[in-house]
Amino acid sequence: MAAAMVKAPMTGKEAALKLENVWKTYRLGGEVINALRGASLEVKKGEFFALQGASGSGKSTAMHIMGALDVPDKGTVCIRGKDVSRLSGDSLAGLRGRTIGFVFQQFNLIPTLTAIENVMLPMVFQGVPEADRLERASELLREVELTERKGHHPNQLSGGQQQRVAIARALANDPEIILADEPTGNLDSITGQKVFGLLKGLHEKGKTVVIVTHNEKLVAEAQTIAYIKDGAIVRVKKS
Amino acid sequence: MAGKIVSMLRDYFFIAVKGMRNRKLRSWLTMLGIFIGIAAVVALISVSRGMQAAITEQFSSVGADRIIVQPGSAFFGPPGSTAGLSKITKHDLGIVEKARGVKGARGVVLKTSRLEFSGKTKFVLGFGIPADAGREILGSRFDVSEGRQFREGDRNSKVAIVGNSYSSDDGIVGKKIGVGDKIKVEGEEFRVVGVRKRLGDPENDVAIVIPLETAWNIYGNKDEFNFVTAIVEEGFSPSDVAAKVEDAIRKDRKQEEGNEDFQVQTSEELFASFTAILGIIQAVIIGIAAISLVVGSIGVMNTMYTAVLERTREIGIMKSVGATNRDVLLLFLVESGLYGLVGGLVGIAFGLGMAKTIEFAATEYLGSELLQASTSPLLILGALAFSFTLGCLSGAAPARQAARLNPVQALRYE
Repeated sequence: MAAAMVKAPMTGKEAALKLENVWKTYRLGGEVINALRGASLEVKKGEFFALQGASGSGKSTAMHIMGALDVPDKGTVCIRGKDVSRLSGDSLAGLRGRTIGFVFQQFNLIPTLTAIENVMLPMVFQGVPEADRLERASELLREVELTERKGHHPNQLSGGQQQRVAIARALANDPEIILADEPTGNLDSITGQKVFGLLKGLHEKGKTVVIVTHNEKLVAEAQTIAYIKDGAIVRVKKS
Repeated sequence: MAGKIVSMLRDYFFIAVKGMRNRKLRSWLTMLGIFIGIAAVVALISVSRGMQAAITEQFSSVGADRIIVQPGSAFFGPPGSTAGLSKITKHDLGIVEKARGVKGARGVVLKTSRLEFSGKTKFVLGFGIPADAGREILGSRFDVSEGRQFREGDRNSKVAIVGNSYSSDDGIVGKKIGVGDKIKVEGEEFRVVGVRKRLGDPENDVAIVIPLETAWNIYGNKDEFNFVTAIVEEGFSPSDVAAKVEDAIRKDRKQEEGNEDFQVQTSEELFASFTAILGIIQAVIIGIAAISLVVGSIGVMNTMYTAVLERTREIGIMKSVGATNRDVLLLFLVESGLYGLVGGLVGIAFGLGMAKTIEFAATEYLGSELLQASTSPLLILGALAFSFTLGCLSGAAPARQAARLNPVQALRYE
């Protein structure tokens, strides 16, 4: 644990996310998988952070735990300085809704809702009044240059457009942290660049952005790169 | 707070509607079970409420303070339905009249009669009723809407009052019978002096009414009645007086209690026995409708379980963007409630349509106005609330399952 702390970047800023000696085991078809084995890392506020690792290294599990989608079996997870490792499901949901925006490789839009409705969805769960929701979602879609497509359903949008809607959705409740799991993994390189540019722009606006990827090119632009192998952080590189 | 909940439910409502519209055929099939059940309940309740109202009206035309003496034993039925059993005679009428608490009593003759008019022959009910003012005891059933009532001088005369369905050319003889017309009853010529008021019951509306003494002459059953109706004096309980009358006739006939060949009923008892029969019919029918609703709610449950499975990933997405377990639970409950509610709405519309069709068929083909569909806002609102609740209850278990899904596992679901 001490070793992990030493490896974590010390910028002097407050930690937005912190994993300390996190263990996570889950079962997949009767097989026990030790996804995380004492992983520790720290993401500073406003940092552009990349978590890199091979398939099956535990990076997605680490992201789920960082994003309060899951809780560790052992160890501590702090989001904005608050220990969330033992919070109830509903408290975690509230935290996710307000503090974290997810961007997934599979875009994960709700197929029955239009682009703008997908962007408004996180605000529905936070009880934002309808007029405010509509205004905010329109503004976000304008930022990702999809104003013209706001009434389209996901199946009427290209992959890049869907991912831009997903980014707009991630920003709906103006969260402090954006977690992106292989955000360009399902996109061609040009579209991927555009999506990546959006994420970089968010960092420039002061958001904490964590990208989980195995794409070397994307990783190169991150301030901090943490390498994960067999469920543990093996190296942290600060650019 | 309440405003926030309402706006939240409204949002969930729109999300649910979008999901249902995306699966139109399945949604309609799911609602079918609820819809059939609710349609059956609404139609049957409307019709039986109408029947209840008709029975009440029929009995109010007899009067609540009446006692009916008729031949036969332990048989609940309308007056005259026991014709052909033992006899109630003029002597019995005298006993009834003398019983304490009896204000007055009159006997009626009732027999199927051959009616001839305008070259047509029909068999209809023939009543022989007293030509004197004591006829009031029989209630308002023999009131006339046209012409005149019988009077003292009509005893033994060949005068008749015809049922209301002869007041147009649509009646069973195909031609209107009016005051002054000549008709033949049992081969004898009668002059029509009045038209009976409309009762809405086809048997009574085609009946012919003649003076009692004339009836005895043409039917050949002098001094006999098919039933005797007595009116109870104010301050006496009809059932006490009925017991006294029964006792008096039993003693006169030297019969043992329980082995009488006649029966004495109050109009209330008759009413109660009709209502009881109607209640049984209602219970059976509602039971059948309930089975349909059970099947319907299993359909909703099945659809909701399928929906939870199909939308596992969506549930994961919703949870990742901040939906709590309660949000997911409510979303699915609103959706299953909507299946119930829409099924109920369509069911109510069809049910009312069915009730009106039954009413129309009864009026048009059976000539009976007794079967009138009767509905109430309470019935409609009740059916809606019930179908919504049923939908929610059917969706409760699937919704709980959806709410409890682990977000990570749900997101991984393919």
